[in-house]
Amino acid sequence: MDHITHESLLIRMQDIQDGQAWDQFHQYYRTLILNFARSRGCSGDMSQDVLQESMITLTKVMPNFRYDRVKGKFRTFLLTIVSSRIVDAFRRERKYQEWRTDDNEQTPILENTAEEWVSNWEDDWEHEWQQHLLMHALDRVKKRVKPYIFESFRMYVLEQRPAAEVTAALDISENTIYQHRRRIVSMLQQEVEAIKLEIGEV
Amino acid sequence: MSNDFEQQLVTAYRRTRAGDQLEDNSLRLRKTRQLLLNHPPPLEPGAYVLVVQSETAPYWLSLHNGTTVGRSDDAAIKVSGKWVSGVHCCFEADGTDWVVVDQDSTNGLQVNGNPRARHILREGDAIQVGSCLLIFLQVRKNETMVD
Repeated sequence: MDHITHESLLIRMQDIQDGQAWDQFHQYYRTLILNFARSRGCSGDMSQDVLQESMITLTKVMPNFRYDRVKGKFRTFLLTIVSSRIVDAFRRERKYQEWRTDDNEQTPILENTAEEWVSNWEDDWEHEWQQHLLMHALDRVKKRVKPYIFESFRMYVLEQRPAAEVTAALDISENTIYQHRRRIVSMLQQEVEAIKLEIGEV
Repeated sequence: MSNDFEQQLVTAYRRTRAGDQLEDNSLRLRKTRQLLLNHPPPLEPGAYVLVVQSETAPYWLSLHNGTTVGRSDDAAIKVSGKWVSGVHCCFEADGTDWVVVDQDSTNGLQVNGNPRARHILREGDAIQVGSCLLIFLQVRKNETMVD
């Protein structure tokens, strides 16, 4: 996706007939929601449920949604939806455990503490968002550089393979690997700033 | 060069790769969204299924504890077809949750393409009974009100 979720996309999503906008939104937020659910302790299946229910909730809510940056960021609004879906997922999981064991074994969350449980999630959500932003910037940079340059960065920095292995695999010098690294990190930092500008955070 | 920046990048990359390995349900969700678009859910709070059958136009049915699906004339959702049992499955209220329960049907119950004997429903779940598709949805009070 070339355009991060911003005002125009959110406005387009108020028309749920705009399938392209919804697909873009889904593609963009899928990983963020899945990763956040996983970080709260959800299993893979539970995370999928959180994603599914969050998207269905948005389908119902978006026609009445009026984007107003002054009132708050969209992702804060999204956190409210995702949080309640995570609580739902844990509640169901506890029920499944009760069915299986009949011993009332409890999962990490109790319904009467759910509100307290989610009350300090903003910082973690923000952290997740920053990581999401980095991955989005990485996608953009990948499209801007030659494949072998990105590959050397992926192997050496992201996969943390030894330089000797990268030089052998790509037939480039060690010095070239370091040059690619510097170049891509610099491009990434620029892209992060560009994205922040696009979504009005600068 | 920022080592912190690189470290954040590596962490984000690993977590994203782990997330990418999860099954991608986007196609099923897209179909569900399309159905909801063409058949907007009721406004009244409650639990519903969108009943999609080839013989009739899709319609929303309000769920009650014990709502049944099957070939029987007594079933609340009547589904024809040789793969469908007289009473194939039923819906049960369980606190704030809704559960779909296979009623010892001959050919079993599928939720989101997976066989299930008893399944706590999530919004957007697709229940297949023979040729009939049921999409589960809950409408909560003030849910669509956005400040």
